[in-house]
Amino acid sequence: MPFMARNCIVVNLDRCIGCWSCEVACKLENNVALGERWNKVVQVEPFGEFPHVSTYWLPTMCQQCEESPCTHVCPTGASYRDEQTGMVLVDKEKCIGCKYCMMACPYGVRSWNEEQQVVEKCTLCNHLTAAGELPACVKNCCGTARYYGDLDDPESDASKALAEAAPEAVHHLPDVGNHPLTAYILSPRFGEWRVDDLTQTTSKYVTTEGSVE
Amino acid sequence: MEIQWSLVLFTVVSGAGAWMFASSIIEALAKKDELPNKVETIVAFVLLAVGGCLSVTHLKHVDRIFEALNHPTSGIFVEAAMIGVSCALLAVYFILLVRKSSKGALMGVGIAAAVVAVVFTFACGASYMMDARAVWCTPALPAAYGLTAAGLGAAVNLLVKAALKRDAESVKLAGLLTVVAVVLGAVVSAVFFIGAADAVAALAGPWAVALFVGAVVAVVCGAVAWKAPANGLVLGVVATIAACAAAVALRVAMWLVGTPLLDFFLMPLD
Amino acid sequence: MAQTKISRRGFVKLGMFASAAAAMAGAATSNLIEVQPALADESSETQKIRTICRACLNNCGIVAHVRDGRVVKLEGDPDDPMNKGAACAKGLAGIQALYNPNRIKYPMKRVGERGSNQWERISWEQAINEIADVLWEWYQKEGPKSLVTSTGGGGNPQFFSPARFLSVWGGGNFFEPGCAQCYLPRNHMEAAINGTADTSLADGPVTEVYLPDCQTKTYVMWGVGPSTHGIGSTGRVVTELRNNGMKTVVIDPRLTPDAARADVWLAIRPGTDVALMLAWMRYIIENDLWNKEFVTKWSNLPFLVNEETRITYRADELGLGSHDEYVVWDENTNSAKAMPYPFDETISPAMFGSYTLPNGATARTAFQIMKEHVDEWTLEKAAEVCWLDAGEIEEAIKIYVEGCPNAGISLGVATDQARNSAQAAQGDAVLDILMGCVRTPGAIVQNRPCYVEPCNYVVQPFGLHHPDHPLKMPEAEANARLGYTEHKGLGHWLASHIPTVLKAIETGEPYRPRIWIERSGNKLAMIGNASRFYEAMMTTELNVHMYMHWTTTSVCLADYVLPTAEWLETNYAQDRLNTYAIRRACTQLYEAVDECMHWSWLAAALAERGHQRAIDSFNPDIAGKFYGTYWRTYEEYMDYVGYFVGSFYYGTEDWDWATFDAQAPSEYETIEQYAQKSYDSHLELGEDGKPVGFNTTSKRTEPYFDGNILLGLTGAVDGSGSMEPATAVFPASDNYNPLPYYLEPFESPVEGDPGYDANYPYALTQGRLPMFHHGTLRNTPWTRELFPYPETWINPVTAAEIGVEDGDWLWLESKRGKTQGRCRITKSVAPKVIYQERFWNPELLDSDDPNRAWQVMNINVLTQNNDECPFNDVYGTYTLRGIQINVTKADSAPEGIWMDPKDFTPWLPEPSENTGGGNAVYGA
Repeated sequence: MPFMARNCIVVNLDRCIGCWSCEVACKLENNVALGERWNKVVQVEPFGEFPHVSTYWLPTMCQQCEESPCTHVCPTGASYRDEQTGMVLVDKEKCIGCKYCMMACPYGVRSWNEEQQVVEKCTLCNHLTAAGELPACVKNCCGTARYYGDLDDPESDASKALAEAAPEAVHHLPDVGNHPLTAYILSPRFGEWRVDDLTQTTSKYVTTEGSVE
Repeated sequence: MEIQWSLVLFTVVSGAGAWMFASSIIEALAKKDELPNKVETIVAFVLLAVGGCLSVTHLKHVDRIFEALNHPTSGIFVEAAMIGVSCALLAVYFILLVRKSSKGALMGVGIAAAVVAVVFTFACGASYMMDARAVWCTPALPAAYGLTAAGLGAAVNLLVKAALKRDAESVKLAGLLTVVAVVLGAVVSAVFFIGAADAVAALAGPWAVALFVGAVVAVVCGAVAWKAPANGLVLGVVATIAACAAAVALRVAMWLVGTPLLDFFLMPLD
Repeated sequence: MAQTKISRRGFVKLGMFASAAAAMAGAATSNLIEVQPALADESSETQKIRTICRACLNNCGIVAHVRDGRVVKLEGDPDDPMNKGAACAKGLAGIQALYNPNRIKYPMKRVGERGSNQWERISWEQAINEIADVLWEWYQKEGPKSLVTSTGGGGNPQFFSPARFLSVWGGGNFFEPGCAQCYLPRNHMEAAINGTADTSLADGPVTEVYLPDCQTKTYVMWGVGPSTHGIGSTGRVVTELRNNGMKTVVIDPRLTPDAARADVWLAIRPGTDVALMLAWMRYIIENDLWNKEFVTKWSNLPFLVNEETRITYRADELGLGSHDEYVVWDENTNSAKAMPYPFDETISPAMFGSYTLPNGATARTAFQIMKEHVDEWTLEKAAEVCWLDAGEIEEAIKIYVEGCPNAGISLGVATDQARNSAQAAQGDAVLDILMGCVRTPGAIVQNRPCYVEPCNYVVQPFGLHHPDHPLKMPEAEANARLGYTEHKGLGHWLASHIPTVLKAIETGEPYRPRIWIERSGNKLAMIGNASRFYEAMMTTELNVHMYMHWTTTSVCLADYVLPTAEWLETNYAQDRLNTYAIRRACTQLYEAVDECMHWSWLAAALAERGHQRAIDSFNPDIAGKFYGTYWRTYEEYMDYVGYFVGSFYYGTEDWDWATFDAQAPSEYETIEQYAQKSYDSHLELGEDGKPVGFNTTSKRTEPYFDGNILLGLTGAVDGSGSMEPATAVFPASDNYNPLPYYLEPFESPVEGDPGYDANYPYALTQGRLPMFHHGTLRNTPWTRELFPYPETWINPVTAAEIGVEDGDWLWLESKRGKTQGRCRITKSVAPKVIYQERFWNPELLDSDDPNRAWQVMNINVLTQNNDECPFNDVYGTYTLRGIQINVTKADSAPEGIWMDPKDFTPWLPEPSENTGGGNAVYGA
């Protein structure tokens, strides 16, 4: 089904300075409970030979997949794609709490609202974006690293950020057929992109080959 | 990841009902026994229905379940629909039994019920074939789901046939069916485990062992019943317990090894 | 109100009902004078109030959304010229700090033993009067020396309030755990040497990087972490420049986000920075890379130096000219010549060499002395000392030099926390002078008024800029400040030496302070060697703590706690480049009061008791308009702020708060004027028709800083001070050295060094995290959730050596104590180097042993603040980074600490009314 738009967040990792402001901005804007989150920044533990190591901070959130597994498995249509904006969203009134979407998400970026017993996720702050504002994480980002917009609109911030980036600096999380829209820009000058062997060690850090040995 | 016990028991119990009825139909087709009788039909129906109810305990908002009608292509909807159809067909079959309808009609409806129910047991496994969970994303998983359910269903059939004091031929075939089904279940489970060898070794070793121990016990019981049907009842009880353990072990192991591609939020499923 | 004995624990548990009742408590007391109208009372509209943050020093512009008198949302102000809409985790957590159930809501008085955590609520009137009674009693018995005041950088302080109070009080001691350990060495020494400004990015003077078309080609961040301190402003702007091609060198033991993206990261061994600086100086001199034009004409390096006094010759000493002329060796005539100011083109001064003077003495040029002084510091030697690679040091220097003179070095807090603090500041200043990176486009050293002084500190000690002010602290009392004689650099901030203050409390020598009034968060977590501090402060006659939140300082040490205002409750002013911004109180809760009023009310109470200077401090004719009188109401204070901003920046004498508020924030000059006014500003002609030069004794930059000797001898860099020479400093000398020198950390990881102890094999360093500022925000759920426990960063090689794994709980132990942390194995630090940041656990305040809240995971249990460990000569700095520790595996986490996000639920915001604060129930 063709959609009206391909809205998402593009992150320039050259500019992400690992300050976690986006996480707090999101919690403040969306009233996300303690222990729950709609976005999160993890640091890829420095890898390589000390001191010539490489590291980057990786902000994670719903990747707005074009072939979104979460909406496919949802039994009730609570996880759905908005036809107007193309956004993958959750209608919490329809969620029966089966958590299949959480199982189907390749990145573990859906959150369980314990109080309401429903699944939640990044909404691209659509209550703000519908009014012409930017998502809270984008607005407050201290590195100007986050860009919101429609990838089909060459004038959107997200499209412009991608257009300015060198092709070899544009990356995506591993695609298992879900086609994530969110793109990450990481220039070779600032670091080496790693994604295939990331292992989550703790809440804040992921390791890759050469991180700890 | 976390074991989802509701879903484990759902697929085991309803799978047992599906395959118990199917085993009985096979016996009838092989002309080793009559078509499933009222008791057998009730047992199958109850197992399917209880299993279905167990799946609902997994949900947090059962009141919104009719929202599912909005999305009839989801795995959960298909599973629920198949359980519903199976149960409906069993009910029809039961009514035909009561009305003493023709054997042909009974056979037709019975086969239809068995086929839908059996397909359902594979479909349960197929729902977990998610690209996000690479170790689940193999045909071996629905095969193992269906065939471990088959082993358990066959064992239940053995137990029921013996309890109902059916002919030795019937019990013997039930024993043979148990052997065949459990062996097939174990083989496809092994294929699934081999495909996820590292994860199984790291996360679910004891459960994998439990599966094969259960399978061996069930196979031995089935084989003995096949050769010496006189002790069918005891053998049926033991085979049912062992095959049930194997079916549970497969599903538990599946949850334990079901690591997603990436899991940034580390958000537990329970 | 009835004085019920109630434990604080019980008090907190009363929860919302108590707070609602208390919001009206003003009406129940007799001292109600007025209730301020809530900003948005009764409206259901959301107001967007432009204000400025104070979650850290950076004061980013913030838009606060206020509905029905409650702050409901914060976001970065897109129109602020420095943060441009960015807001960091600390700032955004401001809502949770403001409405935190753990706030000190009312004045409270200890009942039961000190530290027993039993309190009763009292009125502001009672609190002020009881404290004033004790002050007055000791003032009459033992004079002003009986009082110690203190503040800190975290938690919305009016930094100079305690010193202002002491100037009125007439003596006594003021300390701050930053100060000699944070910013004073750089703030004083760099500006004294380059005659311009210091290079701290975090503290404000580095304005160049924010200019619209910043020319900085290379930025050397020496122990500077823009991404972890003033993030919305500093992190944002450095990221912007770096991504636009600015080269960066980062010198830091820790792989900070900025280090990770630097062209060269030098993972220096903690505490060895000066060794590296000396090598940079040598390399620049040896390879003839220094800026000939600038150094020859605008530094004191060509001047001949008296070998006996080590002070540059004045022309009149040698009969060559006047006293304000210095002496050079003229290569044209091969003779000593007086160098007239600014420069005589007929003279060709020798930069290096040793010469015989008319009086027969031999003298070297200052540059020659510098050259010989740094001669041993080859790249290889520095590499060995600093645990670096010589080739990479060279690469870093080259990147710096390539960018010069449109380049510069910022020095961060790291070097302020080691015994070489003054010397590192000297080294930083010298390097930028050698390369001519002063007042050039793109240089870090710029001559712009910035929020260091006096603008950021509208509230100032009387006489800070006016030596003859009648309320300036009397000279004899000022000179008697503890530790000041030995560490005269402290005088720049009117501060005393913390270890000497503690010693005085412990021993009564040279006199015994009796009363401690403290206004900051948690001294027990922020001061080195916290156990010593605790023991000493338990013996005082009276401890008063002013703060917004309960901490171990209030619970374990205080006799009175006074509720203080959060930044969202205070009114203030702040320059942001060429604009002047305003902090607007968005609400005022409970009986919290801006600390300016605490001190004012104490002064008023002393005045009532007959304290003459306190009486004078309310007299406009004596106090004067520049400093303003002390204030009896908050409105008086606000009007003073408005007046000051108008007077100092907008050239008008008739502003009050309302006029300021009506137009702020606004530009007081264009950004072009702001940018241009620094460049080559020393060349501008003064009233005498000559260039105004630099703000130093010689009007040149003074990389050979003989003013340091004069500082040590007299208390002033130009020799005009009246103090006794410093004697008990290390290295033994009655002078401070004109040139930076390197001392190995007192506790050293280098085998064979006298400070080596095999029992403590690892070098400990600390460093800023982006979710906390000093001791703050450990009790705000959003920040604590991000960083629930202190991480102990250990290189994989060292982790294997110790035998610990990721996530293990650890014991860290120094000669002064032991504490815990949790292992993170990471290549963010070098082998043998351990990183852990300051921490304390507010969740343990209400446990059976509140002291555990500052003990169980507090790195400052390990750090130095004791007489055995020598202090920096000029500033008395004790060592916080570069101490030696051992690390072992612990069985478990400290009992009772919170780690799970849900644990922090009790600290979630508690809905609170806009009460008008304590201003509504008390006025002096």
